[in-house]
Parts: sequence; C-alpha cells; structure tokens
Amino acid sequence: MDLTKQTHGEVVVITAGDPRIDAAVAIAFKDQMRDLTSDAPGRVILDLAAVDFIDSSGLGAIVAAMKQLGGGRRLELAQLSPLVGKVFRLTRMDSVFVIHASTEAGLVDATANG
Amino acid sequence: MPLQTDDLDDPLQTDRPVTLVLAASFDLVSQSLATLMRNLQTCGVPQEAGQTATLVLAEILNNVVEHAYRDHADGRIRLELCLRSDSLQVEVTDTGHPILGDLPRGRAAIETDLPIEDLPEGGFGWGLIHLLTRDLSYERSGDTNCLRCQIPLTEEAG
Repeated sequence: MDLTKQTHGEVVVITAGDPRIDAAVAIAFKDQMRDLTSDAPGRVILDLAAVDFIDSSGLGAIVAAMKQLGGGRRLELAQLSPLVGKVFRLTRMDSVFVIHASTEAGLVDATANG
Repeated sequence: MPLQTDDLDDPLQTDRPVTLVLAASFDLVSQSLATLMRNLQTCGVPQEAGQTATLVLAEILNNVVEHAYRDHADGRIRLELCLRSDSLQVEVTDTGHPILGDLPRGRAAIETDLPIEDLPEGGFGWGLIHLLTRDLSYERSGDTNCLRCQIPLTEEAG
C-alpha cells in the first residue's frame, strides 16, 4: 500500500498512491495509517486523487483510520473520484467525513478544525 | 478446476458469456476485478456504470472468500458474466458453507449523528449488493452455492 506523508504546519496530508483501496489491502492500509498519523497534532487530510476504486472493506478501513485519530477528530478526505464519492454517498458516510474538492482547498479551509 | 483468469483480457462481447474460475483470495479477486474494470471501459460501458458493476462483484466475491470459504484454504470461485445491452448478468458459484435463511440485508446507510467511536466499519457489502442489483437470487444445490443477479449498466445506474 503506497501512502506518503507530508506536513503543512500543523496539518498532516497523507496521499494514497495506489488506484484501489479494497479487501486485498484494507488491513495494510489501516495499519499504515495508524503509523503515519499517530503523532499528528491536529488535522489529517487523506488525498484520494489517485484512487479510482474502493469497496466496503476499503470504506471500513477508512472509517477505522478516522477512529484511530482519537480525540473526536474527523478525518478529512480530498478529491474523491466518482465511484469513491458514490460509495460514501450511498452509505451516508459523506455526512461523517470532512470532504474537500482538493488537498489545496482543504489546506486553506479555515472552517475545518481538528 | 483449472484456473482460467485470461478470459477477462479479451473484451466482453454482448450476449456471449465468459467464465472464469479463480482461487478464493482477496488478492485474486482484486486483480481480476481491476482487469474487468478496464475491460468494461474497452467495451464502451459508461465508466461510472462499469466501476459500480465492479464494486458489486467485489462485494459478492469477497463475501465468498470471507464467509463461504472461511475455513477452506483452497476454495475455488466460478464467475460467469454475460454482457447484455443494458446490464451485466452475473452468476457466482462456490462449494463453501451455505447461506442459511434469507440473504443478509446488510446496511445500506448509517444512521446520522453517530459519535465517531460508534461508526460501523462493516456490514455495508450486502446493503450495496441489494441496492445496486436487480433479480438477486440465491440457491443451494448439493454442495454448491449459486448467486445470480443483474447489474444495470446505464449512465444513471445507482
């Protein structure tokens, strides 16, 4: 699972590099997200621009990654592809995550707070 | 059963069924469906409809890996697909544990306003299958499970 981390001030941005977050990689995704975000002080944005496919296992892993943040923090998601957006919409998970059109938009979004 | 995973490299043709048999593992399901998703685009299926069909198949096949073959190391799944003018006809067979009683309903959507720590991480698979298919049926015959459905492939599907 290809995940890379960048820090912009207090905001941690994780970029997913693989096109699929599915049952084959769900556990690896969840574990790597824990490693990459365990010391994040505030907001965390997950950039999904490269991801064109998720299934319910991938969705569950993204939910688990948010729970791991702790402190009632909401994981922020950026640049959902049509199918990824659809899975979030159908399950109504789009009401739980903070969703940005792009990571750049998320970084300047002063209304989001950790 | 021999492994036949090469059929999905050739574009599907309308009304001509293709069959593949794959070892029951999340990795092989993932690889096969990545190939199928490209294949459906090559066939002119609208991109979002093809991706949605791939999602439904992922939920069905991963259920077989996770539940029907929960204690089998070498299960095999037979997948038959037939492209119709506006849908994908699907038949999935396996020789794992049966589904007892009615098909699970799963959950289509979460309740809103749940605290983060109470959000469900699973149970969505069956909800998505019911929501995104029509003519869904299941039968157990001898030692074989057979799940059939149609997945609409029109632009507005889902």
